[in-house]
Amino acid sequence: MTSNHATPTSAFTSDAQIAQAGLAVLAELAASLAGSQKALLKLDIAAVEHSTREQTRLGRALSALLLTGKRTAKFDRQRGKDRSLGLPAAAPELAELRAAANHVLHLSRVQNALLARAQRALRIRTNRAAGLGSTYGPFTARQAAMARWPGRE
Amino acid sequence: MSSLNASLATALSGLTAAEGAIAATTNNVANANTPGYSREEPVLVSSDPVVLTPLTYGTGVTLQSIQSVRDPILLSQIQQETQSSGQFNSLVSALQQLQTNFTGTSSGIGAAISNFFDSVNQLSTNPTDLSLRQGVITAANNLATSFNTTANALTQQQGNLDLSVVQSVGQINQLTRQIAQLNGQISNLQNVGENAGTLVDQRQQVIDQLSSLVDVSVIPSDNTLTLTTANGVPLVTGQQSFQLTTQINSAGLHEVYSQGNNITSFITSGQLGGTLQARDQQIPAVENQLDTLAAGLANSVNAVQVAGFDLNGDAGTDLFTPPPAGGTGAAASLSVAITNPSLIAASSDGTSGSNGNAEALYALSTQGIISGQNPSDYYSGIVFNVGNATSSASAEQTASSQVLQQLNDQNSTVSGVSLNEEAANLVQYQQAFDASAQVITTINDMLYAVVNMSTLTG
Repeated sequence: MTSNHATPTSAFTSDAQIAQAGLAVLAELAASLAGSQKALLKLDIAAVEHSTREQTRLGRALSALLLTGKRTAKFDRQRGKDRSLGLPAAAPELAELRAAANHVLHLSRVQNALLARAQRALRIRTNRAAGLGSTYGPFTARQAAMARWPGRE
Repeated sequence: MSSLNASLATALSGLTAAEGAIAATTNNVANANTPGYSREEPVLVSSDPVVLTPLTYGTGVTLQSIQSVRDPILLSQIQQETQSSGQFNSLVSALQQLQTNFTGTSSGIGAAISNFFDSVNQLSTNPTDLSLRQGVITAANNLATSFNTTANALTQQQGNLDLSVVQSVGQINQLTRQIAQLNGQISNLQNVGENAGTLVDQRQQVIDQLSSLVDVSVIPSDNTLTLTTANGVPLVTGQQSFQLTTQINSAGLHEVYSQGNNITSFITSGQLGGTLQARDQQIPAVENQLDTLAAGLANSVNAVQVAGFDLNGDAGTDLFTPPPAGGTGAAASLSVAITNPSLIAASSDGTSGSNGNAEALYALSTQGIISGQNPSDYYSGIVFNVGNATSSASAEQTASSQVLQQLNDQNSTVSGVSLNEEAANLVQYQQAFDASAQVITTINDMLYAVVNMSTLTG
């Protein structure tokens, strides 16, 4: 499943369907994060922006799925059934979902670390491009703009 | 000027330059697989022209120097990332070892806490049963042992990291000595206009090794380098290296000193930075949390215990030995104060059948007695913190490794030897050599003609 034409969450009728949809979104999210990491290493800003938009969309799809799971969980709790990640505690897909979620969490942390490094590398490039006289302080062009537009910080 | 002899000299300069360029190419090809080698390029310049008014004649070519190709900014980025990589490698390794002591609630302290309160709960069902009372004492002993074992493991790990600090300082000193020596050799060669490319490459490799150990700033100056830590502590100035030393502090751990100043807290990166972070921040933080848990648990249990009555109807006494004031060292020293099962104060009114105090003891399992949390939740928090720190450091390690790989690949394209490019250069220089040789042959023929012409006219 690709979330571009994702099944509306209201259409899920079984736990297995929710689990499969969750796994598909997580797999897509992992692939997108892996792609944006490659783009970050190459400092390909356009590709990073594209991936970020894709990740935002996938994040929304995942939230919607979790909401469905939560509604079902609330209903099940009222009936005394134990659920986790929107699935029954004994569901066979639960371990797979947990592993996929942990993988995405790790990739997100790596992405965060790479973003900090890319930001540092771009700052160095910006300052180099600004000329020999510039320092490694804030972006000089921005400073100049601020000077022209006082009070616009 | 512009005589045949002058042209001969010009052609000869072309031959010499082509020879030199071919030598550089040959050296590049020979070092194609040498780690850390930067490819060399011949720097050819026109020789000074001769002006014979109104004309100016060129006088050939000079091989000015053979220059190694390097990108200083890229090298600086590689150094920075090597430091990060070294830091996170040692930090992740230490945290993973730390994590083995916190395996969730199925074993270790987590399981011991659950088992202790379970045994108290069982006792409350039959407070006069001596075997159930013995079960509580056994569970309390197991709980104390779990705390002791974990605290000792942390102390042991801290000791191992401390040894690693001393080793790293030794390695740093060895490398800074090498860099100072290489600085001298490079300076001597460059002062007489010789090519020191190979030695510069060697120095770069040693700097990279140093970067993996400690945060290093490189400040280039004329024909030499100054190295400091990121915080400005000098490591190498020209041909002089500044040795780091270690001294044991009041806690029995080694601190790093430079010229009499304690610089331990200034070292934040490289393998040494990661080791210090684990030794001085991560492990003490966990030790502190364990002490809080052990002291809080012991004090709360003791408070309930002394408020009740034992099997003989006497006022209860401490179940655990009172933890040290302030709690420091509580986990390592936790022990059970009583061995006689009848001394457990299960009764709340002095009668042997009362289980009021046993229930009060059991109620501690769900009360916020440790910084507002119940004991199991507080312990789960410790497990989470250790796991979270490990995961974060692991992600940084992955990112650092990827960036370093990318930068090294970039550096290979700048400084590495491309055999295709060298083959093309070789053909180009060979043709230049052939052409210069052909010019010499032609001038030789012309000179021969001139000499014969002189003979005829003479």
